[in-house]
Amino acid sequence: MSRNRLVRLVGALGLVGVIATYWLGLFVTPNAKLFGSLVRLLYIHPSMAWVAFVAYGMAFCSSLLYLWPRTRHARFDRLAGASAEVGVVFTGLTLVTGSIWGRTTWGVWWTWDPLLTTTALLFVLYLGYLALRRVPGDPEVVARRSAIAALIAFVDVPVVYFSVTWWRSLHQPPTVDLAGRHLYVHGIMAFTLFLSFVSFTLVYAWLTAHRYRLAALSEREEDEGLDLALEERRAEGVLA
Amino acid sequence: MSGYVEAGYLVVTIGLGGYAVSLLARQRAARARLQPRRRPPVEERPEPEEKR
Repeated sequence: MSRNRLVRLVGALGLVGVIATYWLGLFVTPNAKLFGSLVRLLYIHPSMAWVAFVAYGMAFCSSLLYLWPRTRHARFDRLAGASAEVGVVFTGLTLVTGSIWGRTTWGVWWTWDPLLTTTALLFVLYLGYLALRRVPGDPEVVARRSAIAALIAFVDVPVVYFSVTWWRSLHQPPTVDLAGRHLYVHGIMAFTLFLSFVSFTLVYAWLTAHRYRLAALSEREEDEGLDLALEERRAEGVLA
Repeated sequence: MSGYVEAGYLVVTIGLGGYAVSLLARQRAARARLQPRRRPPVEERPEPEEKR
């Protein structure tokens, strides 16, 4: 299967999965005793945070591979940038959906809770990382310093995940407790939650593949623009 | 159903959908910018005769 077809297949599966998640989440799953219909936010909010973690994990691994002399290649730098940008989109959506949850359950749009604060910090850290990538300079130097920044920013990811257990938090414990291997929902609710995790992960993969392509096209455009400028200069007799 | 729930789903749909569309549009624009540079120079065609 060609790469284009694979990306299309991933995108189609992701779209179908998200539609199924919406249908199950909005119309099929039951209301919760404690939260009523608000529990339906559960099928989108944790999966946004999960995908953001996956995206930053990918940026971390790609940056590590770029910094490692034996595996150093521009594609790892490109992948790190693409993944981090998609991660920032998902972190933004985590903050907004979390804010909606906070307004309805805690009565406030925002509070300086450890989980919320560390998540906001994560958002700002990766925005800074994306800004750093845009600072002009020698491509190799930019890629190296961006890779180091990605490694530093990733330190906040486990802090966000464990913040609800490390500190007293308004936020309930994670619905999917990876450390304790425990799931706090069952039946159709657990299935919908699982489906949302898989579907949004596929959407992440599709978005990252397209962002990667865009980065490759922009690089080619810059290279060709440079070649064209050099040719013009040569024609003018400025360069030998 | 609570309006907050609908708002949450709407935000996710608009956020991800908008980002996806912007990526595809930027990709298309980048491809369009790259193509003319590779094309051989277009020969000048004779202008069509004026209809009387």
